[in-house]
Amino acid sequence: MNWAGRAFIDLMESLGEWVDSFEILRGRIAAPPSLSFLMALILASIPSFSHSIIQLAYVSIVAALWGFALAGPRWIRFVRMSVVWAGFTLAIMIPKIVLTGSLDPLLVPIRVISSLLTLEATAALLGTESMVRGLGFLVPRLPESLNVMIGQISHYLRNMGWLILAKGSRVIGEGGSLRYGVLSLATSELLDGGRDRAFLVALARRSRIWDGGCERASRRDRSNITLIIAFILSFLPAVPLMGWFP
Amino acid sequence: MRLTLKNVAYIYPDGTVALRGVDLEAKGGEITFLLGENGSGKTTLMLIVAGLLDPTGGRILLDDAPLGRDYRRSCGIMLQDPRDQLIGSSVWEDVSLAPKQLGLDDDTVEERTREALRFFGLEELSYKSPLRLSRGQAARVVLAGLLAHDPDILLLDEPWTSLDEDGVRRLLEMVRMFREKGRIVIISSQNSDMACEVADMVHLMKRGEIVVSGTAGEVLSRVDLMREAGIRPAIVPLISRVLLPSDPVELKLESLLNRLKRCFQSDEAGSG
Repeated sequence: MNWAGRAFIDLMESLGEWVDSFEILRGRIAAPPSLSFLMALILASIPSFSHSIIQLAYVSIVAALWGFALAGPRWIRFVRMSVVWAGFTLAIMIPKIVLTGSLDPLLVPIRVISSLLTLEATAALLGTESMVRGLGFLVPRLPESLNVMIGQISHYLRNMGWLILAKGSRVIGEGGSLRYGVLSLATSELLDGGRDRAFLVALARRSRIWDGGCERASRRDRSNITLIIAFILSFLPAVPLMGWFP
Repeated sequence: MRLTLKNVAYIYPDGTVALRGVDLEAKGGEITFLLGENGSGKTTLMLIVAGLLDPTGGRILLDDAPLGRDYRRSCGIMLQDPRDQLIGSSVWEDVSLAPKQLGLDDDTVEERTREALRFFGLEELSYKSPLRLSRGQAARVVLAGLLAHDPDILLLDEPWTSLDEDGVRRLLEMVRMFREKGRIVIISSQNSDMACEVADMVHLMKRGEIVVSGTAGEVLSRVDLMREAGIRPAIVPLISRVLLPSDPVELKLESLLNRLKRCFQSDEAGSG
């Protein structure tokens, strides 16, 4: 496999690991699912609608601090993948920047990284399970479907390298129309898994993650100071507003 | 500790009837073995006992009480494909997942994780990504995770299919440890030889039903029933029945060999 194929597989595996890491965030506060979902929705939406780079940068820093304080060293994985997602968005935006000559589209990847970091920090605070279950208030049974979907996506992304090797071993030569590239192999595997397989994979993953219960703060955690700084910074923008009220 | 299944049924959403009124009792300090061919409903039953599927009929009781909210925490399950169950970014993270979720303190989490990794010979792989493991290594990681979890109810679905000889030896040692601690251990498999090796109670399953239940000796000596259920009869009881028809059936190779040795010795002494 050439370096591009290898890089692609590594990226897919990292994405799979990111989904897994996201899924196993237990949260530190036992908030009701509906409240968790609403908070996640509101907090992640705020940077999505912002047009100010300073505002977005501020939100990103505060979210990053919160995330580090709550998720510890695991947080690096989240930051890394948020940067990758922002990179994707930037790649999509480059043609627009080149064609229009305007730098405004650069705001989009910054918005992406800011929103993702906010969402991830919220999940570290409230727990992904709780946020997903909160969706059930909008559409009943949606959380179960989402769990199956998340499990399936993560499972295949993580096993992409193995799957491609396994499938590639069945292809002899590259003659005629039978040209199996990395992407076609990956896509066919994603689509061929089937409902029963998805169901089993989801159950296998649920067997490792239990419902309810928050993550305990680690005694070895040195992030308490970070938590205090993040907390103060979160409320700092509200200080000028206080003067408006008697 | 006693787990009781009363008339448990399960029908999949596509209409497939997986279980039809299963009655089963599994006691702490005993190894319960579900023996059945593919499609007999063993895995569905294990998923129900693990609290991952809700039965469409019947009841499950733990010590005569309905299952509580935290029931799933007290269950540890290993499924047929161990790779499906790995979700950590490193072997260490994966093995320590359950003790962390139990809210144990850092020292205990570290101790349990280290001990479980050592037990399954995984120390050198502890910082490796689970993605880079062989199927056998993945199975060891899942088992190490269960050892670190130390659940009250241990469920193993065809646990030896991915393991090498050393892995199976360590697994059997772990299973016996759980039995000694008074835990409920349920193993499902179609391997009757392994049932001879570890089982205390055996339930023979066929098409979603338990067709016969009893002690390992009672069930595994019923060659006719096993064949009827699509299971290859275990070798040791078969030889035992042929060579020592008047004696009680032996299940373990070692005890059969000992008995045969004693027979030969007494024959030699008689003829001498």
